[in-house]
Amino acid sequence: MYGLVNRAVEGLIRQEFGDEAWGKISSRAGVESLEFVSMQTYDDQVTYDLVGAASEVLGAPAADLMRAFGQYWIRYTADAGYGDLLKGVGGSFGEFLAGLDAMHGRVAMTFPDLKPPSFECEELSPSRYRLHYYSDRPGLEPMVVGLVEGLAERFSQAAKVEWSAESEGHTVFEIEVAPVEGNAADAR
Amino acid sequence: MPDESFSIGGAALDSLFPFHVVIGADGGLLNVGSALRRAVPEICPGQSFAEHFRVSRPSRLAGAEGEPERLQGHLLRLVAGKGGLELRGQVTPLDGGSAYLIAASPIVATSEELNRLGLHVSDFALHDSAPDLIILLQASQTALQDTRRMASRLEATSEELRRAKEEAERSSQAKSEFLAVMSHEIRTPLHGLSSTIHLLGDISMDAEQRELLDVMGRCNETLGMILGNILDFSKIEAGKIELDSVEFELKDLVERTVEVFAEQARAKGVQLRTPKQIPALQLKGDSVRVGQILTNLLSNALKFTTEGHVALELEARDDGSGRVGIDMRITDTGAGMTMAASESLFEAFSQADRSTTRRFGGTGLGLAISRRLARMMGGDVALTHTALGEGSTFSVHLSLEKCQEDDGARGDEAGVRPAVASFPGRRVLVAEDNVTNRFVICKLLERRGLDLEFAGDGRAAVEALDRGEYDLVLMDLQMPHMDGLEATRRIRSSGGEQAGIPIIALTANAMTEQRNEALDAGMDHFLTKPLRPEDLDKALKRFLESPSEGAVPGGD
Repeated sequence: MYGLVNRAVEGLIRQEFGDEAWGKISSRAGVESLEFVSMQTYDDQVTYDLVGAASEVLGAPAADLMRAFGQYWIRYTADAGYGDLLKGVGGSFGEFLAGLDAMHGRVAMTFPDLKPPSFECEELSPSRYRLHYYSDRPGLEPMVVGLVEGLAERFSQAAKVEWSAESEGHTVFEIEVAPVEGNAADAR
Repeated sequence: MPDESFSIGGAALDSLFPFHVVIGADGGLLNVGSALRRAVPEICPGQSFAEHFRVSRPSRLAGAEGEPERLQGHLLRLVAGKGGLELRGQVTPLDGGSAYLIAASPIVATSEELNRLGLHVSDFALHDSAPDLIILLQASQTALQDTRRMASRLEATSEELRRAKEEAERSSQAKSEFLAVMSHEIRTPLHGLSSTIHLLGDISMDAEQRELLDVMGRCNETLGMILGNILDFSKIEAGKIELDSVEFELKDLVERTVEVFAEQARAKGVQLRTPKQIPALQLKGDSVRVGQILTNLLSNALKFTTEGHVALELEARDDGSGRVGIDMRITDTGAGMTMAASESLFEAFSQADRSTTRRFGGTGLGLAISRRLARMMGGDVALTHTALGEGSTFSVHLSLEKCQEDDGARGDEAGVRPAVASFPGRRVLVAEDNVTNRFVICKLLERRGLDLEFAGDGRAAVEALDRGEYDLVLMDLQMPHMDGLEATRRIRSSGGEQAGIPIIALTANAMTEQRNEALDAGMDHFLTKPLRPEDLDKALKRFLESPSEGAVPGGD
């Protein structure tokens, strides 16, 4: 994973649980460097260890933490300068989901070290989607749930997400969105 | 040859080039790509190409929009529509020149521009790397932010380090000042003690009393040496040690230094072997420090040797460049040590092991000081051999300046051990506020047949010189009301008969700066407490035996 991901994990923990918690978690995870370098590749295990350590230190299930991280990731990348790029992926929730795979594909072409997941989106109706997720990294589905929820929030929608494993490396997410009252549905 | 039988339909064209246009030979728009139509809605098929597009590069083709055949073979930069969407593109003929395809794509470098133009990543053909460049640029921005953040952290860290360094310097300064004060405080009573022991030596006493006095004398010497070591080390640490440059005779210096240990060696039953031949060389350097290095090493060797011998070997090499290389080897048959234990030997406060301190005493500073001093003299001190139970060999290398023959003639006063000097009838004014010191000085001077008078502070000394005639002033530096420096300045500038009287500082302030201050104030000589009677005699002889030369500066 790129350091940007680990930085976001750090950002979430510091924001929600404080600097002291981050100190405990990073030392338990054996993180040696003082700071993650955003564009440097780190072993995936570093990220898994961070999540595991956070789960132990905070006494929260790893799945809950990953879901929270997924939601946070959307806000974090937007704040970290990727907001315009997110807008460029799609002007609505549906457009965004449809553009998700091309987006990840381009990232994969641009940064050959990075192994982003692949997506396929079926629009069942304007409020129902079926998202196919293909990844070599096991156990990150709760994070995808958080990502979808965070994305919906960005377009002033509330998302209900359920998932089931289709086969190894292929998971299907059933998504239903409804506008959050009092907000425009289009973030553009 | 490419197979010309393919023709490409509008849908395939649109999928490959969503920002394309096809124009006819007359310059009319035949086809407009779907993404281009979304981005610039006013462009419609049937209108003329030149109406909506302008060639901005190559500039020589500006105005050639109506002649598509001329645009072939160039990387074009086009401006489309009222909004001025910039595109890059290439013109290629279709159907043998009856129409022309302009395969184009927007020029977009940042995600901000992408948003401003109302474009999405999905508007671009999958093979088009324009969005990838946007991602790449954003990533490099992120890397740049990382760099900036780390630079500012580094800056903060170096600021912290700078503060810590300042703090350490302040504390080191405070330490030096504390040592200067302590030095004074310890030297004053030590002076009283050593002078009293010396005076007691002249009183007749029985053998047992004499033995007790000898013990006191040795303790006093040791105390003086320890104090000297601690002060030297502090000065070296603070970078405040400066080497003197005086002429001296090597043979004489070595012999005098060794002589000090002769009695101690005899008493322990250890043979002290000295070189048969020491070259009689007139050198220039800090003779006191050279003697100190040798003293430290001989003292160590004797300390750790209970039987056998301590041997000093010496070689001097004149390298012809005006300097003399001196190599000394001090070998003993004493305790020795393991190589592991010897590793920290030259570090301050270290002895081969803790139990050493208990058995043999000492501050553990001697070797550290000796090495530092030797290095200041362009040499070194090293342990060349040691083994547990087999003794040790230390070597000293020094590089000293050689004196020219003609300035070597002076000889060395210190080599002569004079009998107690006597100066009957000469008058000395002693400015001293401390009662013990007065008593001691009084005894020392009376034994030398001198008349003396006391002044309790600097002001009283200045007044006494106005009233009476004296041959010499011994001046303490720290006194109430007026210190010795100020008193000296007043005496020198008084213009009176006694303005040129020899003034000798007698003080427990042993630091080099204080010595310089005293000389700057107009004093002729500087004696430190504890006062060694030999030094006093030398000074008295110098200033009282030839009064006409007494006040000539630079005699020391």
